Amino acid sequence: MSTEQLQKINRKGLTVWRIHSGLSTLFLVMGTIALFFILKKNEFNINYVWIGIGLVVLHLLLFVIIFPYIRWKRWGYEVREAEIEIQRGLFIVKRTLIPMARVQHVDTTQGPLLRMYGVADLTISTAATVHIIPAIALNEADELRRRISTLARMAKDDV
Amino acid sequence: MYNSNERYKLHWATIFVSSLRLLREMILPIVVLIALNAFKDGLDGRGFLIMAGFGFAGFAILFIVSVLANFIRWSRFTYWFEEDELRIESGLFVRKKRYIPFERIQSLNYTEPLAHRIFSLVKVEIETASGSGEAEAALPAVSKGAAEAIEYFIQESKKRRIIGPLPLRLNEVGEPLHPFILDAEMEAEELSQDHLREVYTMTRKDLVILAVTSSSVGVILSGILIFTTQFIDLIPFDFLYTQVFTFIRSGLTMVLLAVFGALFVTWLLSIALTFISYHQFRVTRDHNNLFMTRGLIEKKKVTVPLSRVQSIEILENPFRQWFGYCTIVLHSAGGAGESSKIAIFPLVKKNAAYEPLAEIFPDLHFSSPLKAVPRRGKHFFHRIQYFWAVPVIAASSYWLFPYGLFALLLFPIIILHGRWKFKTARYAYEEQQLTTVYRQITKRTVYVLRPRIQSLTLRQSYFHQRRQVGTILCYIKSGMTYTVAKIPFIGEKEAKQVMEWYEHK
Repeated sequence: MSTEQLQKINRKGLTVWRIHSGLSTLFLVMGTIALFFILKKNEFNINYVWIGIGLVVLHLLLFVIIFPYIRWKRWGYEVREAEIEIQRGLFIVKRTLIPMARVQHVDTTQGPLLRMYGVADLTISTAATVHIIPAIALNEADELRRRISTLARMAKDDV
Repeated sequence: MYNSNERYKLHWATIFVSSLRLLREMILPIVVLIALNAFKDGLDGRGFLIMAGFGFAGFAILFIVSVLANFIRWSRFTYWFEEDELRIESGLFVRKKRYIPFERIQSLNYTEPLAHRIFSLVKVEIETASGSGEAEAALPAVSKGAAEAIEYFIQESKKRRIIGPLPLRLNEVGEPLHPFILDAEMEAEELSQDHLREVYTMTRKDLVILAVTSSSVGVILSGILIFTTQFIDLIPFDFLYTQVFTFIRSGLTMVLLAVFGALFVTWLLSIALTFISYHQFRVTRDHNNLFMTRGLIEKKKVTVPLSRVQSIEILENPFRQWFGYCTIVLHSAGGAGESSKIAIFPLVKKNAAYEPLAEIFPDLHFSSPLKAVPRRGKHFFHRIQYFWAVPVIAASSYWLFPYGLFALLLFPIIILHGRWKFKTARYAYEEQQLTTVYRQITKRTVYVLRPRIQSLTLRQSYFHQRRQVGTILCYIKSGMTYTVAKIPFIGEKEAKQVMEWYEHK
């Protein structure tokens, strides 16, 4: 395996991930507020609400601030002439090789959040597996898609 | 190019076969429902008769309606051959036309369920190379002659692009009017290329061993579990609870006996199941295809084009390994359904399997020397298990105090199991082929050609990196999804060599 520096994914990708997990933090916040009112109405010990607040802070710290950062830092990809390499993972790092000759099709997809930030996910499908490179700037993603499909076609002619 | 001007119908018995199938699917749930209700409410004889009467009347109406529906469906279903295509039209209000070019047809699979066999019919499923999950088209029931005629047309068209009409006439249900006419030249070609060769026939003795050592006990247990969860609301729990409670108090030995009894019965059931489904298992081949036929009640014939085979696996569960037996399966890219894992030799002596395998798959090497994985990764084989084992042991020791301590026995079991897995793990890569051996319980040996590997992943945690080991996951296409072959905890340097081997042309 060649050890050149892999390409990082867009910083905007990190922001999008954070917003995604931030939404689930919001649910926890709502739960905590509900807990507060329930405790107050039934004249329970109001201090139990700290458990809820603790959870919110923990979730914010781990799932919104730290984990997405590690994930983003780990993420790398490289599109070479004969293969695509992807590296990802949080606690367990996975390096994947996809030979161009195995690539069946390439798509770009864009949800509303991604569109807001002008980025897109690139999906690479082989006959059996699907690989995603997240959050690539839109024009770059289109360019990459074109490049991969050309390379894939060439690789197939060789075989 | 051949056009048949006639349009062929399915066999008329299709109407009854389809209706019967519907009834068969309905009968068990309904009977169980009635029985359980009777049990719960404690019906007297008269009430029960009324219930049964209603059930029977319901069935009769259902049957008549489904016969009518199936009659309409049958009368609108036609197929014919035109411009080297198999063309199917069906549907009453929505006419559905499906034209399948002969050269796109990958394989024809035949099934003869019990109801079909009464009328000596077959169900023909047509598989193409397309990506959709199920068979491209199916003829639910045609006579055997008609099925052969379809195969004949496809073979002929593929072989020689015939101009002018074929020397084969069919009647209105697609059966040949006279025996197939083969001219001399055609016959010669048939013999040189396409005549069937025997590959493997399972003997009665093998069938018995296969059944007795089958590990489908788990399948049946889970089947029972699913069944019970489906009817869980209907089971009178209060009643059962008191029953079970007195039962338990009547002695631990009784409970153990009952458990073993249940296990024994499921084992017998699994033997019976294996016996029925692998009855007269036979593998034949021609130049391009493997054919598997089997079944006592439901006869099946599966075709696997050799060009679609992705990988070969030797599976040895401990029982069978002990006696030198193994199961050999292949993964095919075609096929309906989720994964396409097909047993070519359900049970063979391992050392007798290599020769026929090498003959069918000349590109694969089955006797390459294998390398072991490094000792420094040994403890990773069991360490991950502590994640669940430690909490379980702690909890059971605390809450079930004196007897719960027996859970501590899990430690040596886990460690020994890890050692066993470590000892099994082997791999080899050469020129065009990757071979890997590993086990959970069943030992799995995978042979795959490099062009058949869809992608390769090296997986490492922080701890693995520190000890310089990693797991290689090799993704192989199987049906609509994939199967993974692993090289567990191979050395990091070697892993990178494998990745490099995979990269290079």
